[in-house]
Amino acid sequence: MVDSKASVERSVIEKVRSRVSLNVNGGDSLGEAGCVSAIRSCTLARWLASHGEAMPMPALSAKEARDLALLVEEMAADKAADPDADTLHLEAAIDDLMYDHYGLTEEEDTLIERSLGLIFQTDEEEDEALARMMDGMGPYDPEDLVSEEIIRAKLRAVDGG
Amino acid sequence: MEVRYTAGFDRDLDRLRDTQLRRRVDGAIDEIEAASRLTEVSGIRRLTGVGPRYRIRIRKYRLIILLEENVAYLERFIRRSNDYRELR
Repeated sequence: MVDSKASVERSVIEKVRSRVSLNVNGGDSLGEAGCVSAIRSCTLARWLASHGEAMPMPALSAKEARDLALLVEEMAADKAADPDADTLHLEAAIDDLMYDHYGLTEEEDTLIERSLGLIFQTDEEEDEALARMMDGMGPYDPEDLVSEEIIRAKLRAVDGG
Repeated sequence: MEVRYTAGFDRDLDRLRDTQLRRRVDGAIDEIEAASRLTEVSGIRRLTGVGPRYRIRIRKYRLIILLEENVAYLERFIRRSNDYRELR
């Protein structure tokens, strides 16, 4: 088990090291200062720091850079409108973007988030927490429901609209 | 089987940025609709506790489903967390 964990950890570090990085000033090419800050504070960066590794400034594809800039802009706008705004979903999207950039597997990103205490340590614990969260929800009245047409349109929107 | 969508599930979709993930949810709904029983759906697991409630893992997200009179109510689609209370 320990060997397996160490092997997954090594795999993550190797994947990060092996991807092309920008030089120390390369973050400028990301355009948005907030993007550099978002990369440096993402979950992967914190996990790397806990393993004595620095988070490199990744050479993002044009699409990745655009997606990151949109997320950072949205987060800044939400915080400007309300300093206490909940932006966890945007931070999570940035985390996922970084995991995807480095090609991390689900096993690898699960290990990262478990080791930082961001998620439950076992599937059973998680399922119990989900059951507790949902306890008492439902049954649902018609006014609590949304049409399939609206839901499908959201799921099939080309660019997340 | 019939599928219905709660306002909570709809709100969760509004916060979802990943287009590929949206496609996966779309496919999961297709699969639920085509199934005659929820237990036929791939990757589904019944949650312990009160009520016939199930979850499907889709990457880092959890699709929560309540089964009532053979109707699947899609209740939430939330990212894994260590504290689900804050998501209510």
